[in-house]
Amino acid sequence: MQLIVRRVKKKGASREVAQEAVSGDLIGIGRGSDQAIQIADKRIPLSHSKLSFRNGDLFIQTNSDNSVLVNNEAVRSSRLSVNDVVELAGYQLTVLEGDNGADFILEINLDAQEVQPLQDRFNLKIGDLKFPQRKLSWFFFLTMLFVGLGSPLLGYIVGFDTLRESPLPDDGMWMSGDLHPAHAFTGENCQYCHETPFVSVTDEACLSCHQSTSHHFDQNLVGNSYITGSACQDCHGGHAGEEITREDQELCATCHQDMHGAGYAKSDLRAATDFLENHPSFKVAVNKFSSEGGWSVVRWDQASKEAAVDGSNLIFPHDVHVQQDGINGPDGIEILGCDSCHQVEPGGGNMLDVSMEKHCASCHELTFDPGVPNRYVPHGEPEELIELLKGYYAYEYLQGGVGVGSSALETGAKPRPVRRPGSPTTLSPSTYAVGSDFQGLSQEAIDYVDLKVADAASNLFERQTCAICHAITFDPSESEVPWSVAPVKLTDSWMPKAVFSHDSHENMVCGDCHEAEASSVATDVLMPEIQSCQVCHGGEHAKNLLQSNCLACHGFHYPDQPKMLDSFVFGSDTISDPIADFIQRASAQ
Amino acid sequence: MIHTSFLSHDRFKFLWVALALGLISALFYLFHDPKEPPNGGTWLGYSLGTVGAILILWLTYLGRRKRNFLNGSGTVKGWVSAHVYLGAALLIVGTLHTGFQFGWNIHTVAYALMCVVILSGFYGIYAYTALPSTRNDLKGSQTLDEIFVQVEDRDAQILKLVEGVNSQVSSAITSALDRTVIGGGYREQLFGIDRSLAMINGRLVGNPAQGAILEYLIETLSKEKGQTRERLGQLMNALAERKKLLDIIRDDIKAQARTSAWLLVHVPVTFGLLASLIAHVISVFVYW
Repeated sequence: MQLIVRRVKKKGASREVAQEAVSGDLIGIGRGSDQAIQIADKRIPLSHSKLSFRNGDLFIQTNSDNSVLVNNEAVRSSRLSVNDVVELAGYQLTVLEGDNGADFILEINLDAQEVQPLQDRFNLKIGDLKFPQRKLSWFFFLTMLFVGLGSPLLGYIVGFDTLRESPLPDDGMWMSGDLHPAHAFTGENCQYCHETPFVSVTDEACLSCHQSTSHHFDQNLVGNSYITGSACQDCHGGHAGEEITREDQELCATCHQDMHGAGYAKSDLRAATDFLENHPSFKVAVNKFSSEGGWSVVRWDQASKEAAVDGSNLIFPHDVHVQQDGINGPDGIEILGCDSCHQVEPGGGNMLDVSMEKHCASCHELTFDPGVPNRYVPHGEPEELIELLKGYYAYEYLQGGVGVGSSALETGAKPRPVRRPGSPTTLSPSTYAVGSDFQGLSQEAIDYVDLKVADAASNLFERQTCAICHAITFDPSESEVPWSVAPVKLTDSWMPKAVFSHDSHENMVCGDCHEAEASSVATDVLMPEIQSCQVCHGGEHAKNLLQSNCLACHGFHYPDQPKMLDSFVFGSDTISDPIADFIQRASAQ
Repeated sequence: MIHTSFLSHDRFKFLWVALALGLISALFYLFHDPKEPPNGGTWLGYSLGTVGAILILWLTYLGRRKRNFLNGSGTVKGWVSAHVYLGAALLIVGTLHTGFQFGWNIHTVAYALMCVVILSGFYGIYAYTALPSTRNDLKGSQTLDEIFVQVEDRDAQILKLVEGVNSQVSSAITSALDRTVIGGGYREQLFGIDRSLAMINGRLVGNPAQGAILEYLIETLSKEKGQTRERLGQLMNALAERKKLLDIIRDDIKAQARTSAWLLVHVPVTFGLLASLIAHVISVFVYW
């Protein structure tokens, strides 16, 4: 379609005419500058209507809500014939016969209206754009209130599980920080811990899982409940990732700076506030044996005038074993180090037990007769040894008769008298001729065995082998086995209230802390005193030292103390059971 | 002049107040040893949070209060000054309140909205202090209305001049006049985008900064001689003068838009902030 648009404006007595040619299948009319026929007047929409050409006829079709006057009839669409007059916003558009190849001429009479001043035709200010500021403010306000508060609170009405499954914002919006990885299993179920709104997380909520966590002290024994640290939350936070435990020494010091003052009247614990500045001397745990009470552990203050005495009942000179020149071994001189006997337990900090079989036996062979160096007695009770000796010498008698294997008999020397000087009775072969052990044997055989056993036994128990390491007493009234070996117990944990890791001290040498080279008796306690630790370790705020808080060595929940479970009643309806709930959820997936 | 002196009001009284508040908060934060990862739940966290929340409510009230020019106590300038400086201090107080613990939650949303409000406010300070002088530099001693009248004058002049040239050229020029667009929507005003068009050789083409019509005239001019060429030359002069005036108008609209548009962010987001602040405070205690 070819259309000539002719704009006519009165100019004094004459008329001003501007013409332009427009072509296209659809020709837009409107205020917008993208309209082929533009009429700059604010009252006219940006895009008002469209002209189209079908089968030689011209049509007008308005956009959506607009209507237009065609020959004084309001219409939405209409066929336009020559001389039809279209009116919009007071402007007259007259359809005229086309010429010069144009299908029609559209004459627009601009005189019908004053053309507005230039600045009124456009939006020149942000304010002209009618920004819905008030509406938008309300929108933001209500949206945020719903998203952040209203919707999550719906959980208390419809149930949080239902809410979390819906697309609506739930209480996940409130999660202030990451959970500890061990708490991640609770997932979105905030109610596991936050049981009651506006009530801080309770101990019961923690203990519904942590039932087996142990106390810091036995409440029955001490006679107090906790005073400080009475709530789990006093030391443990919830939403700080892995850092949910307070480790500051000031927290411990609230009680430990003065236990009596803190309300623990029965406590005998001395004040401790800082490892370097204010910490009591160590108390080592040593073993003590009494025939009446058996073994007991005594805590020995290292600061006391008397040095600690360990009652292991073992005879062991450290200095002999670790001397730099070495020590006689079965294959010549052997140089022993601390780690020849003391090995760190795998992955841990403590030392593995030292045992006779693993660490002593390779040198301290339990031979009993120089004539049979390949025969050993077991490392056991004296009765066992005597039995074995009897068996061996009876066997020896049967094998070779008199003189076989016995160096003493071979050389013709008299067997040593098997008795201690001053003892009232002599252990003679006849004293061994009891019971039915030797029935069927000749008196010669019995005498032979008894003599040999008595000789070997007194040698073992009084001079060599056993007596080297063990304290042995002789009681002649016990005619069968007059020797008894004092029971031996090595200390398992020298400082049971502290945790120490040898692994993390592997850059040091043993002698830095343990003066083994200067110790000649087993009663010596080779545990370092606090000053030794303080060479490197200071308190939490120490300068130029390793900063060590209480938890560097001490725990709060001592494994040897009663379990928390004992103090609380479970199974009430108010306490959820997160573990059972979790397992149910996990297995349902 | 209100647009600059609110900064130096009462010998920078509120600047000193804000600096003191920010400095005290920072010192507390530096010397505070919370024994747990810094967060809004320590005693300092609660304290800073309380100060921050009170500041937010008060600053919002100030924003409203400063519209009442003569009522109540204080001067508008004083209120604006307090609003600006204490708002800046809020950025410090609020940030320290977080303990730099952020996440995808309502708490961080509240903080982010607070930052948006404060940063848009900072832009507002720039707009109120720098842009008015930019606008004056542009227009010289003239008002915008005067420049519009000059454009209309050029339009009339050009319409007279086109009478003498052939219809093709004249319809192109008149179309360029008619289809000149000034201002427009948000983007057009804020970034000075020119959506002017012109109908050249029967085709609608973009005519930003009147470039298309001037180029068309240069081409046409080069082919003409004598009197026509002289007439086209005069037209071009007039069109070029008109373009210059339009450029000033457009830049002025841009500056004017930028002086006021930041408030369209500042105010509605403030209400979003208020709601998220309420949600933040209440939710923290629901799940205490």
